[in-house]
Amino acid sequence: MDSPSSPVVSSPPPLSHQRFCALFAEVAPELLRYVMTIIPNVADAQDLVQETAIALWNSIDRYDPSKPFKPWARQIALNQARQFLRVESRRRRFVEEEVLNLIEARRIALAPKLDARRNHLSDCLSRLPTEQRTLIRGYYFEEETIESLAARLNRGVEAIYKALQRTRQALSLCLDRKLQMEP
Amino acid sequence: MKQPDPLTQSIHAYLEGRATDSEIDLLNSELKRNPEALDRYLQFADLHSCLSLEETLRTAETDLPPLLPFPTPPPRPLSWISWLARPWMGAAAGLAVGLCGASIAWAIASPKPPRIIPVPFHTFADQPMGHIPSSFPKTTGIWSGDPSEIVLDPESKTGERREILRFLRAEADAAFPQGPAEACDVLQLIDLRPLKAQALENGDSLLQLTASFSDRRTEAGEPIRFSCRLFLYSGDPEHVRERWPQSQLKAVAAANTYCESPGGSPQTPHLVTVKTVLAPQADFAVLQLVAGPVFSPHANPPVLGEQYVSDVKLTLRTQTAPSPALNP
Repeated sequence: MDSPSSPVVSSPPPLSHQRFCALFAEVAPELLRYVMTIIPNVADAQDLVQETAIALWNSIDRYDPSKPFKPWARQIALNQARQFLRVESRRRRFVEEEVLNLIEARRIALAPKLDARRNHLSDCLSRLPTEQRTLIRGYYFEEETIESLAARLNRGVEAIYKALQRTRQALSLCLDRKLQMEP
Repeated sequence: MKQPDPLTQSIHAYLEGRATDSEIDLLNSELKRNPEALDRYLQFADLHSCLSLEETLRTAETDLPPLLPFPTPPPRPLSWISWLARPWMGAAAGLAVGLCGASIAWAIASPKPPRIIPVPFHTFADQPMGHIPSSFPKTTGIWSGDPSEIVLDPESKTGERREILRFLRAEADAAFPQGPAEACDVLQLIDLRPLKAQALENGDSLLQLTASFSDRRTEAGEPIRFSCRLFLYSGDPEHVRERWPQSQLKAVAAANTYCESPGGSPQTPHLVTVKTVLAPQADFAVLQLVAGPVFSPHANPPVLGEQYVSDVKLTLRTQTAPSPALNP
């Protein structure tokens, strides 16, 4: 029992719904990027982030508001992703548990570099040849299917996949070069 | 440019959702043993997510020199990410409807039991048997959309007459017939105005749509994704109809839930429930039931005909608003 002179230790006030939404809104884009590093399908990743929001709120009483929100949210998102992969494993047995942990750890370590690379993406996109920009725009921005792109550009499906891969390669090389040029 | 090495090729294939078993095996083993492979994977995955999430490209677009003459793209239902990404780029408050919406708001509502109000809408039994009208509904209370038909359930165990909807074929959206046929969508428009006063005076209100999907293929095949979606709008439904599915972005609230079926369990129903807060400004709702591919947006249209939906229910659950102490 506490003596009358001992300090009163009170639990932190619960996080209000509004505060939670504000915190979540802050981390949501990063969570989505994070989830997409393991589950590249946008629709799946988006659903998973929604589920993460619900899971976070449902376990809000376990969150200590004196600690940063982001790592906690990321951990819950990772758990959601694990569950998803377990369910999906029959069809798409991607990364094993050990690999997931490695990706998580490495992603945290690599975060500053990935952030810096993103800063140059706009520039690197503008330097792509027109044909590659058309591909990126069609595939990612307009969400055109590979088949539709192939038909529109009068090329085979496999050729479009290869061209997209080369485009991502080119972008990645450009981002690396830009990063090396940074002071 | 030279051909990428097997690891890089596997990374690309995984990001494109078409990695083979051997490519996934290679990825797993390389990511475990090779730190350089891990970095390469993360860099490509991050690039892929940035491009997929559009925001960078949208910014970059303004700086880009004019692109090749680009025909009007075949618009697809806009991805949910587009729908959700905008509020993030704008104001965080916009998330109140999206990610912090229904379930979360509901979770902190007062412990008083909810009041459940059935919403008047047309079941499959209220509509003539046979093919449903095509395209987006022109009026409330009618199921219409892609090729589907209302039939008597041949497997009704009770022997009772039971109308169900059979998904027949994926088709492009009527507003964009040149677009890809990705999924079979069935829609109904619901007038919410008569409900609003009643709902709002009771505190928070949650609109809930439930449907029971069944995949009656006796053998497993290409997986099918069954989705239940709810969109709430204010204003004139005609504006939504004209621009569907792009008008999904104009919804004042929206929610989407799905389940997936590989086939092979014809007796197993898949119950899907979706809910969203009844936004005060909402005048009407669009209910959307979908049978589509799992691996969108790069999948071929699914082969349909043995997929059904039944027992569609729409309810309004009202509950006293959270106390001021919880929501300062």
